[in-house]
Amino acid sequence: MKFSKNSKLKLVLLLFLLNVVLSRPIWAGDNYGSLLEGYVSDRAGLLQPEEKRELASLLADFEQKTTNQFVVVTLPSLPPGESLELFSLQLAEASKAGRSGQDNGLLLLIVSDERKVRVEVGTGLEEKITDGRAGRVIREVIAPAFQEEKYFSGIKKAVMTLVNWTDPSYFPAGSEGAKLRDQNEPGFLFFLVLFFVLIIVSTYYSRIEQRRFYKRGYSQRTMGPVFYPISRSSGHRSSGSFKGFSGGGFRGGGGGFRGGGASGGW
Amino acid sequence: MRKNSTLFLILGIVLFLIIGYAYYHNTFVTMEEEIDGKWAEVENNLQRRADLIPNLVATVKGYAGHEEKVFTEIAQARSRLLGAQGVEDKINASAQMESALGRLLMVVEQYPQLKADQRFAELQDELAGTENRLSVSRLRYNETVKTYNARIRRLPGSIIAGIMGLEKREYFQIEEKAGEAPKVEF
Repeated sequence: MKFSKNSKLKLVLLLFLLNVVLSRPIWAGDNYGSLLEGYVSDRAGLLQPEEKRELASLLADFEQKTTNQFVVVTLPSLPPGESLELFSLQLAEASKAGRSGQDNGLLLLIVSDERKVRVEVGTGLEEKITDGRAGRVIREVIAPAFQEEKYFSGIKKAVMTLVNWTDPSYFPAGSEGAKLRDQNEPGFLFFLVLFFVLIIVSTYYSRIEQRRFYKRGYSQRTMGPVFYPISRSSGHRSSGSFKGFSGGGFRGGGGGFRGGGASGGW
Repeated sequence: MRKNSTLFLILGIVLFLIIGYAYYHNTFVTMEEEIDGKWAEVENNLQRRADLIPNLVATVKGYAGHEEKVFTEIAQARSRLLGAQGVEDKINASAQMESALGRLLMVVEQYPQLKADQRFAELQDELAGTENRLSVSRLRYNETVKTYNARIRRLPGSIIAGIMGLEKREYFQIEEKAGEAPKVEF
């Protein structure tokens, strides 16, 4: 072999260290799993029970409709000596989020005492949620909200933004989630202008029919169609399709991760 | 009768040897494939990093155009990485790239405006993500190599490995600062 004795020794040491890191009994194997309880595992206690349920039902519904599995985990702190990235990867793998083969899982990890956030993106979602986008969510959505201690709204907006990037058709137009999507897409402005132009033109030409126009469900104030005012997640809540327990129905599909995503803090 | 049982015994031993050989042979072939697969992942990530660099350099140049030395270094490291053949060469080129990147990032520190740039922030994330992917793929590659190297040297596998002419695979070593994955921090 081409390695000198010295470097061989170092290598052995290194591998030994890696081994120790990877097989630390407290966090190894099933113990990662014990940190997880379904879609939302709030170990740091940042969320109210009903907020947790709302998030979980949103994520459950998203999974049901698109098969993408998103998981949110909050922790007070990382195990001593553990790096955020390595820990997050192992936690993501333990959660088995995403379908095997599609690898469409995602883990949003929040470490409250250390003020660290990581978005761990499943291999299959890396094209939709690029590292740059993942970083943007942390910088522009999570960090500002968390600085004001608005944990729920920060997490929810972040999840919705990630959902929009993954599947733009998930939130119906006009819903809370769609508004967020529109904010995030620069191209939207163009369509907005086009939309208004069309509306103005059409109202101009159909003034005589205006009354019928409003009856069909258009509001004068917004000059746009009025869709369901209730967002899907809250509408979903009233339908009672989740089983009371926030983790109800979550089953990791065995999706793979390879370290994509971004880290940040607040 | 006695001749028969000796025959059976010999046949049994031969069969046992064949099955044993086939078992080890197949295990090693599978493991080699696995190592190659993991290495391909490492290469993907190296390539990915190389692809990111022109963008990164262009953005930094916009703010710090006169830092010629760093840009030349990066360009050299990049072309060396792209031209590298074989595992060892690639590992070395990758180390050179890492140090060049490290210097680029030190330059970046001196330009607060650059750090506030939206596009640069995203490029930083892409680069950090790629570095992370690289260290993950490196870790997985090394783990597979470790298992393989142990298997081909332990009896009885080592005999079959000897017949097959298998050799120990190289680890993807992390330069000097062993134990610590090179991390891009901004």
